[in-house]
Amino acid sequence: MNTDPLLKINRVTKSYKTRGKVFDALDEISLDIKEGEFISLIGPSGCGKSTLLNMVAGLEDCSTGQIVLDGMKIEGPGVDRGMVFQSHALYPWLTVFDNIMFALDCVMKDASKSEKEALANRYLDVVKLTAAKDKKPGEISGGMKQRVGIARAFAINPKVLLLDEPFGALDALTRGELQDELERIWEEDRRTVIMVTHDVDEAILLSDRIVVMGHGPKAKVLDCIEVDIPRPRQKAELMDDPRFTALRKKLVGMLSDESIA
Amino acid sequence: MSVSTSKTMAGGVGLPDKTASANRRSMSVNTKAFLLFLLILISGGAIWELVVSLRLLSPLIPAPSLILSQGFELIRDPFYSNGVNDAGIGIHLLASVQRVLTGFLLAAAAAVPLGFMIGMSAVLSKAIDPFIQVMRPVSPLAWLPIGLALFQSSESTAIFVIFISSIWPILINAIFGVRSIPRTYLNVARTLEANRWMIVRKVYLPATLPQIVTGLRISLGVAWLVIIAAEMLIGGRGIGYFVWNEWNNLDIANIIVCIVLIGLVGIVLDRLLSLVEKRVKYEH
Ligand SMILES: Nc1ncnc2c1ncn2[C@@H]1O[C@H](COP(=O)(O)OP(=O)(O)OP(=O)(O)O)[C@@H](O)[C@H]1O
Ligand SMILES: [Mg+2]
Repeated sequence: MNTDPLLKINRVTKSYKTRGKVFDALDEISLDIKEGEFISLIGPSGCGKSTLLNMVAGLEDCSTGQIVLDGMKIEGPGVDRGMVFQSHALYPWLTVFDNIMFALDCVMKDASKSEKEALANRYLDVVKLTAAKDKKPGEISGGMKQRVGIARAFAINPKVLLLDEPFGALDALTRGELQDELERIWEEDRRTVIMVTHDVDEAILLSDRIVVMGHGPKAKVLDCIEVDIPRPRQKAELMDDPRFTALRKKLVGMLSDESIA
Repeated sequence: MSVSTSKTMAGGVGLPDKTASANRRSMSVNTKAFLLFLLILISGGAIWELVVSLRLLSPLIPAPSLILSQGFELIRDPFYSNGVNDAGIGIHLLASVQRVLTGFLLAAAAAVPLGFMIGMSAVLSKAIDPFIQVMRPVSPLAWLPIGLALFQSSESTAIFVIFISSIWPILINAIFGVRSIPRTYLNVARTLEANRWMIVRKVYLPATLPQIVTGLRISLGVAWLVIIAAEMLIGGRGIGYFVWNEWNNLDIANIIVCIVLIGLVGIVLDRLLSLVEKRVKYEH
């Protein structure tokens, strides 16, 4: 198996210029991500997690440094990266099904219509939304919308999935449900995932590695923590696992130190 | 760009549908309102009739009974035509509607793509804005002489004036619609490497359609206001010309009939676009 990292974030910084002032958000972030790895980015609010994810997505430029995906420097957005947005970002004028079809139409230009429809149906089935496929986003719940967003990102079969607080806007119950569901979907084909989250439990449940970022400005990576809890993991069982409790304690400690500092 | 005020303009005055206290008695709000409407109409007409018969008003002002009988006369054979200067009111109304629709459709065909182009570029939006800001508050009738100078034909001038009155609301709404598309909608398309054409057709267009149709609705309302005045000045054919002609005949009864008919046609035009508006609306 190829041991080179699939994604190489190499001494990336980000500075914003607002009204003449320069704001250094990120300071020389370096990170190697292997194929099939599930990475969580966690850190205090405003430290630059979304910024880093958007740079990997190609939606923002790096001020210095570079990000290399599969040997190619990232210069802009591309279909080799699938994004799940925090605010679901579905098109409200399209049905659930057509939202996924829009993505497939963009990405699979040579495929036949029936091929694409079969794919869309398959991923709707994976996220258990077949019954709601003809509804508009305005007619389904927040959790369902987020599941459509996940199905859309998975359906285009990207090399890396980017998730920006995918469950941030949901209530605790729905969030727990979707976390278990994401764990199940991920187990099926082990994609490479980078997920931004605020939720320590979520990070431990889903990740192979948790990247802890310090507060900004000039935010740095404080630590990369391996999660050596065997999979498949279930949220309910995890709570009693001593490794989980220890990890949780460590992470919460680091994060509260950061927000005080 | 005050889009919200224009929206209420297009929406007209709406009464709240139901209030809890209004349901105390058995009659529904609608029935009550309708009865009150009839009461106001009939008592207003009766007072007017009385005031006229007591000769309290200018002798030019006709009594409602006369207006009614002349009104029936006018609409009995609306489409008769005895040459250029003697035609039924239906023919005049149709001529006006035709001018309005022609000018309006030309304006829509120009302003929607233009608004898209301008709206998609921040620089262009800023550069064009001063022109729009200056032109918008100008009465379209000020353009009438320019139309005459340009076309030297009254028909083309009328359409030109309608074109000018329609173009600003459509343009402003199209630009504003494009500028206010949420960034994430565009980011989704960018991450999917959608090409420019796909983005315009599948994202910009459906996203801005409700706003554009609102612009169209405002425009059509303005155009229908403006055509009457324009036709008074230009003459020939059309309901505005007809009204002016009746003033020259000192026939106020016919003018009042026209006013009501103009209002009714205006309602029909507005309702047509409000149907379209409902169809293209989406929930966030
Ligand atoms: N377009 C921008 N212009 C100027 N500053 C920006 C811009 N975008 C982000 N920032 C700044 O960069 C920093 C990092 O923002 P970012 O949104 O990446 O934080 P975050 O870690 O995702 O926060 P949260 O957890 O609250 O989502 C913040 O201080 C923010 O104010
Ligand atoms: Mg964020």
